[in-house]
Amino acid sequence: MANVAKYSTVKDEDLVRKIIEDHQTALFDILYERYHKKVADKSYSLLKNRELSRDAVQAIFIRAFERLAGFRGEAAFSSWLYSITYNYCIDFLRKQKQLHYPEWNSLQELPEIIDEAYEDFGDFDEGLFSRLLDEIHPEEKALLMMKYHDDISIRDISIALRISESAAKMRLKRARARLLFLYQEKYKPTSQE
Amino acid sequence: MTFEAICVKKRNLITMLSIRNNMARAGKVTPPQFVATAFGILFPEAVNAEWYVNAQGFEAVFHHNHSEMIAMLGANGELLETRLNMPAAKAPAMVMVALAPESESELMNVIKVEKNTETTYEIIYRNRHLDRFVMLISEQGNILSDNAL
Repeated sequence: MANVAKYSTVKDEDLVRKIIEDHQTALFDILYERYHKKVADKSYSLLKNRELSRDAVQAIFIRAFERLAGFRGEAAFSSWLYSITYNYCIDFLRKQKQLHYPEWNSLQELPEIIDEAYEDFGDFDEGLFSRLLDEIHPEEKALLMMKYHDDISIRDISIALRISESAAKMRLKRARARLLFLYQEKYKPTSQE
Repeated sequence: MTFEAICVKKRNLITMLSIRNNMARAGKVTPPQFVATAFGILFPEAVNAEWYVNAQGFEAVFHHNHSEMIAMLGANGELLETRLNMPAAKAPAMVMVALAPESESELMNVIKVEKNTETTYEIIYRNRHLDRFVMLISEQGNILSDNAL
């Protein structure tokens, strides 16, 4: 354990290298300590179930450990780990058949595309923004989180969600449009308020 | 509320702030004026164009007549390629014919690609095990590629 403590300030990518090249597998505990809460938060925000998200954390870290040799360091370790997190959660929801994006999208067709020039996401308070994100489909929410919170590249988003890069870009555009539409429809104060 | 729950709530709010602020700042890539002008002439109804720079030139992702669309323009503003998102229900019949041998498969996404004078369809489908694939189909209904995602 003392040996592990010595590495507590070492960069993620260097830890991964030591785990792979020097077979110091105990160092994976440090990565777990650094990221398990963030992975749990992301899982919960998509799965909306504490027990399922606790199970997800274990499964995600096992998957990350098994795939560690495939981590090439092209992106930060955190982005790579979060990609696995989103992939796990969306696949889980898809397999539970709770999630059918094309069907949901066709039922929730946007009647109007709001011009972003007339609305500023920066004006939304964070509570309202959180509510809006919970009203859209988990696949759209995952896309927005990956792109705008975790700064994951479009290529890695498309791999994680198992869609093409073009589909990822278009769905991102649609997710932004949906947030604006929902805001205008349900939450925007009217001029009398 | 437990201490853990309070921490989770606080972390969630920080995440929301980060997403909101980054979304507000996003889409700030500006193409050269002549590219933007060419785009405006080609797609006068475009709404919310967001630009990317790539090896070929510039790429705009936008809404056009209520559909999502991608236009790729060369460095001189010439149109290289368009990609139009189509509802699966409106997929051309030959897409369904190409998919028919994949028993119990389900169409998840259809994108119409127009490049030079050729039209192809990039489709995403899933099989009965929920494995997903991307297939490229020519206008004549020939399968050009079919790969697991």
